[in-house]
Amino acid sequence: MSILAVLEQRGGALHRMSLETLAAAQQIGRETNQPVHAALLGHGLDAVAAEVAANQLAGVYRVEHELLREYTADATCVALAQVIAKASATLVLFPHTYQVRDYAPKLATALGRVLLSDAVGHHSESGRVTFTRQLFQGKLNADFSFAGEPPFLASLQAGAYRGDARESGTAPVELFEPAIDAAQVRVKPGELFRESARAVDLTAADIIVSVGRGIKEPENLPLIEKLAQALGAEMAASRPICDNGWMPMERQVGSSGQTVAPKMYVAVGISGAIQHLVGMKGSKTVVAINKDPEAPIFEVADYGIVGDLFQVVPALIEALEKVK
Amino acid sequence: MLSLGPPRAAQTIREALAKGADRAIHVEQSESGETNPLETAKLLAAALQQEQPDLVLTGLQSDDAGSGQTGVIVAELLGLPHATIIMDVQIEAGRLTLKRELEDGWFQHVEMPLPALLTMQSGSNKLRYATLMGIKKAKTKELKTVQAAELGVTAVDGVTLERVYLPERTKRSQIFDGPPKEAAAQLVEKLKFEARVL
Repeated sequence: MSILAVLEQRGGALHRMSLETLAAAQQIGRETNQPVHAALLGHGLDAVAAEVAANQLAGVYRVEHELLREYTADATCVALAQVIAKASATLVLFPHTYQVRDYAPKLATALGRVLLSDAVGHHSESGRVTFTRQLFQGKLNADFSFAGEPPFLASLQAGAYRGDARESGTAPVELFEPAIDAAQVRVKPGELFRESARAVDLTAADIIVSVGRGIKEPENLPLIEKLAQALGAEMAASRPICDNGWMPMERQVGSSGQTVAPKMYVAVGISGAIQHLVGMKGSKTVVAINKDPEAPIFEVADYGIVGDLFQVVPALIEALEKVK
Repeated sequence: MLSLGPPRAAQTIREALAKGADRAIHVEQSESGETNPLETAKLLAAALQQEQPDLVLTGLQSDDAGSGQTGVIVAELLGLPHATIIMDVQIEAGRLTLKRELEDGWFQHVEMPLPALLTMQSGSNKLRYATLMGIKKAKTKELKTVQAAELGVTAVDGVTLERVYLPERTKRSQIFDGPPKEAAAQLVEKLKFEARVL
């Protein structure tokens, strides 16, 4: 009986969600009385493994192979199946990153298991753990338990656990070199690239005004720009706006864009699909303007105005100018 | 095109035919068929096995369960290489060159052989409109219905649904739904004196 936290790193830097997974693994380990190991996959991982070893853990597996230097789902699954067996892990936790979405369902299938993906929390009762998933875009919650034989696998949504809640410690690091045959790797990965040098770092903004499909036409964007000016805010958008090319991709907030946590986040005409909420729910104060009182964005809003944004936003700009 | 769903899914399948698909397979499942992603993928894989396609395209995740796993599992069940969150597809001499979206504005080109399975990102293509001619033609195009129970897929016990409930509101929202001017003034008052963000 043990827990394995599979952490994500790129070029020796830990993915921020790796720390959340580590914190979750520690918490479940304490509640169910199980030792917790962490695993890192790649090549030349001395420094990042030492960083992970500074946590309360039974051990850190530094899983290294030339074929893990660049990520492929094929090599990762071959390696992880061996790590899980070596660690005799009964529960394997992953951060629900793009990379995990790419390989973890394949790994679970190869092991004859079902991955519980994108969990937002857990309950444990006398050693038995259930995980909570959101259904219908967050309108419902559902608790799932695992059936059959372990290992059980679950991936955790961004922000579901607090990375800073980790307990520090000193853990031994063990080098593990899995057997991977080059013929098992069918995908040839290329270099990573960005489309444009990112001119804007939304994570540094104190106030963000974000616009969604409610804006209807790109010709209406200047209205939102005016609101952003009145608030001294940066402009952002939900995915559909960037997909349409109305705003540049680097201003997109959500699971496929930036994750932000400003002092104030003003969502205008954004319904609040779960993919968007993941990117902004950590904001200190959330303001939502939407004509649909049932829009999920109001679930995470501190303040909301239900109304037509084309009437509400001009009124808001006027009210803001009065208090200046 | 291939779809798994209750009888009413046939309407959406006809739409796909009207938008240009040549033929369709509907794996029909009872309305209450509670499945996990592995079970869903096994049914789709069983239907695909009879087709032997060179390229399988799926979405990223469903609106209801949102597991985001089905495509990847289908690939593993069929022994196909896969790539996820694809923005662009080029095929040359039996090989795929793909543009994958990564997090935080990063992208990557990857290459792989055919046959393969790809999960497609939104915004990578624009769905065409169904023309009047298309809608007319769709009525005569082949729509093969296969009963899920006939595909010989055994039930999978991997996860058990324990309970479904309404999420607790973590925040107490203050909603202003009066006339716009009034609501805007109330909001600014709160932002200035309660949230103190102005």
